Amino acid sequence: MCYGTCTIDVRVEDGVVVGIEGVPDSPQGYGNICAKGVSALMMLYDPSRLNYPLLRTNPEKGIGVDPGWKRISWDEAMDVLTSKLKECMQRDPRGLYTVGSPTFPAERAFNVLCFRKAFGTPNYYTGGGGLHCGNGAHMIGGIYHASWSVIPDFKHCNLAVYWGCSKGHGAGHAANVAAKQAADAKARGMRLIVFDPFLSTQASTAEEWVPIKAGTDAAAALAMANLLVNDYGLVDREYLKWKTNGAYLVGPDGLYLRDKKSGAPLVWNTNANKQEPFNSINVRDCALTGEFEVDRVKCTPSFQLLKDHLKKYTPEHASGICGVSASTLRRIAKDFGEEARIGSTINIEGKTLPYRPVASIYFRGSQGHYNQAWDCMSLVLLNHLVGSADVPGGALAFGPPVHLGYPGTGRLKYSVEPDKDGLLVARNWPYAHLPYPPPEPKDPPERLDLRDMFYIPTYTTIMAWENNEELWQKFKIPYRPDVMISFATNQLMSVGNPKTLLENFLKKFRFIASFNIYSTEFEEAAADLVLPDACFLERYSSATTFPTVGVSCHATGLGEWVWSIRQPVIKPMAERRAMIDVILELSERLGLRNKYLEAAREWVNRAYGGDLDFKKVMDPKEKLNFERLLDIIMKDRFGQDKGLDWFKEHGYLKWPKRVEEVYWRAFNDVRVPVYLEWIVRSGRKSRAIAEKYGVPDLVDWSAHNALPEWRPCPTHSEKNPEYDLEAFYWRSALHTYSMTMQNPWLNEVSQNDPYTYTIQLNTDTANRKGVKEGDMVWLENPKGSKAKGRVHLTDGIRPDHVAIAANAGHWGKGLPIAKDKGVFFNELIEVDKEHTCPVSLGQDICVKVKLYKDGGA
Amino acid sequence: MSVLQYEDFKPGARAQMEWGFGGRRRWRDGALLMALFLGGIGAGQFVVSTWLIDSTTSALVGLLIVGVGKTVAHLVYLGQPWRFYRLFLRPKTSWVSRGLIFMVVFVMFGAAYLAPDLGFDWVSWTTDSTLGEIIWLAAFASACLVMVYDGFVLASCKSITAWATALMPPLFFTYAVAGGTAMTFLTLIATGAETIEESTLTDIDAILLSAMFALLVIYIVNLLASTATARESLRKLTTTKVAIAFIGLAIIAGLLVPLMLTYYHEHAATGTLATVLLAASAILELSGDLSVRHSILRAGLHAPVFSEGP
Amino acid sequence: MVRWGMVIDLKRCAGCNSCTVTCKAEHHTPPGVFWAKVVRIESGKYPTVIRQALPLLCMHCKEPECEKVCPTGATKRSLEGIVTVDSKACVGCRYCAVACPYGARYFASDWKDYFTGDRKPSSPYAEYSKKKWLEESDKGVVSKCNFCVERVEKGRNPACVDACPCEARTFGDLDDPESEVSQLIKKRRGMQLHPEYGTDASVYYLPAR
Ligand SMILES: Nc1nc2c(c(=O)[nH]1)N[C@H]1C(S)=C(S)[C@@H](COP(=O)(O)OP(=O)(O)OC[C@H]3O[C@@H](n4cnc5c(=O)[nH]c(N)nc54)[C@H](O)[C@@H]3O)O[C@H]1N2
Ligand SMILES: Nc1nc2c(c(=O)[nH]1)N[C@H]1C(S)=C(S)[C@@H](COP(=O)(O)OP(=O)(O)OC[C@H]3O[C@@H](n4cnc5c(=O)[nH]c(N)nc54)[C@H](O)[C@@H]3O)O[C@H]1N2
Ligand code: SF4
Ligand code: SF4
Ligand code: SF4
Ligand code: SF4
Ligand code: SF4
Ligand SMILES: [Mo]
Repeated sequence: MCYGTCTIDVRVEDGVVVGIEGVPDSPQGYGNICAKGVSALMMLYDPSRLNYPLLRTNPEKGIGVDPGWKRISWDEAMDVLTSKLKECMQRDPRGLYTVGSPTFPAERAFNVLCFRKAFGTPNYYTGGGGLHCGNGAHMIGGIYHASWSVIPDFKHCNLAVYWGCSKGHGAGHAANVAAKQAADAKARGMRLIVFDPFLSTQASTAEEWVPIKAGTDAAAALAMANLLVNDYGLVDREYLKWKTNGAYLVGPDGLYLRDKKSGAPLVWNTNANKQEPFNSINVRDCALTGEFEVDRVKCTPSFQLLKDHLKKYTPEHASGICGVSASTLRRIAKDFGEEARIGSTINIEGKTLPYRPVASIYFRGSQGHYNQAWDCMSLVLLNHLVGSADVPGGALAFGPPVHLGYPGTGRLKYSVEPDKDGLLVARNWPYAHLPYPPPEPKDPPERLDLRDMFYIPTYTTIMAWENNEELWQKFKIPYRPDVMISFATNQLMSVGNPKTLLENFLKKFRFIASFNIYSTEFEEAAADLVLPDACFLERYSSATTFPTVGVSCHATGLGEWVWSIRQPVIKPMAERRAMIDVILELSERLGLRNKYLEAAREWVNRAYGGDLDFKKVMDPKEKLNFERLLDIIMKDRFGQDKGLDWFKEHGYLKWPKRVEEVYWRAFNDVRVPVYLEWIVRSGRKSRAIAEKYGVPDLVDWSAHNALPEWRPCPTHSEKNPEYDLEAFYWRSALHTYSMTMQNPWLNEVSQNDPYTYTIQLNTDTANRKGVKEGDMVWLENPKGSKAKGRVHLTDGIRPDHVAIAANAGHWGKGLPIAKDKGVFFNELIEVDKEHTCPVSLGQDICVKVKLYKDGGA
Repeated sequence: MSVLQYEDFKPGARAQMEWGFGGRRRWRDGALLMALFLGGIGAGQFVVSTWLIDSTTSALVGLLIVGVGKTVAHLVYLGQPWRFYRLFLRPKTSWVSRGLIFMVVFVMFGAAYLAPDLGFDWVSWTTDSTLGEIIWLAAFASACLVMVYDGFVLASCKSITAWATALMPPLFFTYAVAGGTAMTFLTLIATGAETIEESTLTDIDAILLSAMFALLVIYIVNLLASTATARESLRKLTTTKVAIAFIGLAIIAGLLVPLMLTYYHEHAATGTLATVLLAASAILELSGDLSVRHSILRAGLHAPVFSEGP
Repeated sequence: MVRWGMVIDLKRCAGCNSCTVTCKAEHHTPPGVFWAKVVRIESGKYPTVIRQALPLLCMHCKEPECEKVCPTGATKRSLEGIVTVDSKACVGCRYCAVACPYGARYFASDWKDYFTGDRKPSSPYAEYSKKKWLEESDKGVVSKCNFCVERVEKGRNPACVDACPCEARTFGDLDDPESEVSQLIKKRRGMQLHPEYGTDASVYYLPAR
């Protein structure tokens, strides 16, 4: 029930699904299965599941408004949808907004991306995903590791430092697999230090918990970087010279000095004592520090700039910000630098590789802030200072950025490569634009969220800002929201303040269709047409493991790759229909068949290399059919004998990983930036566009720099002392986002867990406020938005913070089990410019609150 | 509103939830408390009525309370009442088996003993005959065992520190005698028996009440000095809703007030008033008896599974 | 003779509750009945706090209190050390549930549907579930973890052992000094819960720290 997509065996007796177990032989889960996975049974047979298409009869939309659902037939539903889409196409196809699912990323491609392309709209986003987990974290992961995220090399790592993430306790990425690998690593003796305001499940498994203030990770990490670089000298100079742009010479304008002929950035060749293109074979050694003059322009290697820049981040300065003592920062920095064993090597399968058994790992916790781009960059930088990136023991790219081909066919082949500046370019990337090189900012932007006039963001919330209409006018966007198709996401609960999203954005649509398996808050408040999807046990899912979502299920380190096809174990019940079949039928109805195939071709080939062309294989008159498409893809990748039929029989295919794939950094001549020169360039371009259309202060452009910095969240500068608690949320291993609360097994266990459905408050703080265990309290942000919940007292949280688990607190009538359970956090999240990272445009999800007892003032 | 965390998921001491109106609050669960209560007072009444008072009616009431009341209560409580006969199968190890066997033995001998006085004069003994005496002794002994066995049942639960004490059997026994005395008294008043041996009864009563009070004090001190779980039990007995039953009903209404009344009735102006006062005191005592059993069941906390803190 | 036992490594366990739910799915236990469960323990004062998950199940004691107190003989310890309840012999007196020091036993008056709380099954699966539960247990009786005896007899591991994402659980023969469980207990100083009660539990815990 999450994108970990563990391989499972489902037992069916007399047409009834009666049991789910893991498949021990599959590296995708090792036969283990989590509480959610087992509980999928209860989702399949939930009497609250949608069984028929529903049409809204009450034209009024809103939270708490009864939609007046009317049951209609599929024929009617398809007619309505087709006609709405036809109208939209005539007005302006860009008025179609597609919203995808973070739960089923692989299917999102076929369902949402391909259809969107075929239809001709640039507009889409992915539930709350991206905004909460993606913009900063994924993009920085992409720039530095060609991957969605990073994870320790559990098999060799000796010291992992986690910054607000779950990697190894049953939540987070590759939840199950990482849980086992982390347990193995612990048993082997890997030490874990967790920076987290809350003694999270992950932190509770660690050797050391460092209670850091939320949103201040960059300050701490930059102080550690400063110590490594300027105090302890514990940096991997060789790595910095050859694997980063640390030696690239930067001029007074902040940009590289470039070779006149080739345009390649210059470095200072210390043997010849002159400048030289970075890729010249003459460069045997180069300067990382110092000051030089090239053509009478003063310049310095970018590492020198970083070194100087870091000086202001003293541990004492950081301590004042992040609430962690300077001595702790010193100790951990020293430990990290020493344990990195810079210069050491290890022999793996006959290959000698650098051995750096330390890893700095981050994800959603540290990224969920105003400063998220730089937070993530600062955290990942620690790995690149000591050279522990994608080498044995270090921080590994999650999933397969490099795959040298399925042994049988050589297909499914892709690797990382350098761009003209020598920097790492990912090839296997799930988002529409690569993390690097940056796309050219679009003038004027075409998308409603203005994303295309920026260069890092994947999504933005600008379309839901209060002043969106004004912005659309200023940027001369000629069309407006028209039809929305939403797939497996509960936007109302996952994005931010639901009222803001609904009033500013969703209500502007003429028509919203949603594929879901329940009628959730989103359907009830905003959708006009609800289409009952088959759940994952009732339908085919495309590749659940490769290419891109592999990040979320593959084990770390050497072992096996796996490709599995999720297959229906029973026919969809009642009138449920797999969304992909509906989308394909819709494409036919709208005359988009060829465009759809074209989009699918583009996607499939980009995602795994190769030159598959559906049109060559298929008969021109052949109707679109998902099983057929899958069959074609499988055969193309794995050979004619391994079509869908083979997968129907075997379920999954596995083959060994190679050293060159896992520890790819040593084998590929690619560099990563310690100085993000291109941000300066791109930032200037975006800014120019904004100024041109009369919105000069669209975002704070001063953050578009080349070096990481710490900037406070709005919460850090809250003046009113009443708002004395910093609130944030975390992921429970028992739940996937908001949807699993409707599962009665998980719900029952959650009720019995002291954390999952409660507000976690420090015991002393509670005593001070006269709050007792189990009290019902309100959290209220400075703008008056409120969330209510029961308090659980714990010593495992900073006294100045409150934590909330998961995404609970449902109010939808269609979710009777989930209703009124737990705490709904997102009501507290403001969706506006002040709470948006100026660089990545990700959502700031921490908030200052005051806490008072229910019934009190 | 949502259900709070189930007791068994809690990290600290866990309340036992199966006996009496525990955490799960199924109404039928309350029948067990009634079974213990009725067993105690019924057997007690038989003992008091036959030994000290010699009232056949009262003895019969006691016998019926056990034979009918307790039996029905047990059956109501059982998840599978039709299999009740299986309860007798393991007297070697199980106090419940033993207790129920005592109960059957008691009912048999009790009935046998009373039979001649109840018109079954075809039996070959009379209450005063040697055989009758022997039968009485058997009934008496088994009644005492019925009165005391539930103390052993509770005391056999090792992890429930508030129960696992040698005080349990004497406490339950004393309460059974006291309850029996009160019942005898009430029965006599109700049947308008002439020969109310007030002084005998009040004397026993005064002694019993003092003994009960002493036992409870020892019990509390014992809890205080014992494990953290026991102290938690005590906290439950004295500061939560259970305190209404324990302090309010069991100690104040069931012990102190009757003591006062017993003492005061001697100075009562009229005999009727004295009788009324004594009746009131008996009723209060009975409610105290019930409350003590209830409180002790409710105060039954299992030591934490993981470790017992200091 | 085999003596089945389990070792739970608290260093590996992350408290994910997969065991809790897997056991539910395997044995169709109705709402409120948890043959397996996880209790969370927190100790210490901020910031030196320790949080530990403690997975529980029946300890399959060698000297089971539950067996001792059971008046009917429904609770029995098998030759292979598995303590079971004969649901056709149990009368539902709950003495065992009160006497068990580990909270392993549950009384259920009847099967109930997870969605509706009714006795009527709400789906074909619920129907199946009800049938299975009433076969394996019964109305009005006490039930508890049976070490997945039906799987063990087939040479498989208990369901919770197979499912555990952290592979914190190991199942095996305590009487065989060479078995993995015995070795783990020896090497990692495995401990029983409440050894002072003399129950001689067959579930051992390996310390987290
Ligand atoms: N408070 C809070 N907010 C959060 C988060 C959080 O943890 N807490 N997490 C954030 C992050 S990182 C993310 S990625 C997002 C996730 O946000 P969403 O993707 O919106 O997650 P859900 O709210 O679970 O919504 C998923 C929806 O998919 C439906 N669904 C499930 N299976 C199927 C299926 O087979 N077919 C169809 N059609 N529908 C299905 C479910 O009923 C549910 O309504 O939320 C973000 N917002
Ligand atoms: N079980 C489960 N697994 C999932 C998902 C799920 O819903 N359930 N969702 C999937 C998805 S879409 C995503 S995006 C990933 C997310 O996976 P992760 O990024 O690993 O997210 P969390 O598990 O919420 O861990 C975030 C941690 O950060 C802490 N934190 C909050 N603010 C700060 C801060 O400012 N600084 C620091 N240092 N820590 C902070 C929180 O207390 C929490 O412990 O998980 C994926 N896997
Ligand atoms: S980790 Fe995710 S995919 Fe794996 S069993 Fe759990 S819910 Fe299913
Ligand atoms: S399944 Fe394993 S890791 Fe999860 S709580 Fe149970 S024993 Fe611990
Ligand atoms: S843990 Fe409890 S139920 Fe299990 S054998 Fe021991 S005493 Fe009996
Ligand atoms: S409830 Fe059943 S198993 Fe338990 S003691 Fe009574 S008869 Fe025995
Ligand atoms: S051994 Fe079987 S019955 Fe016992 S807790 Fe595990 S899954 Fe449940
Ligand atoms: Mo996410």
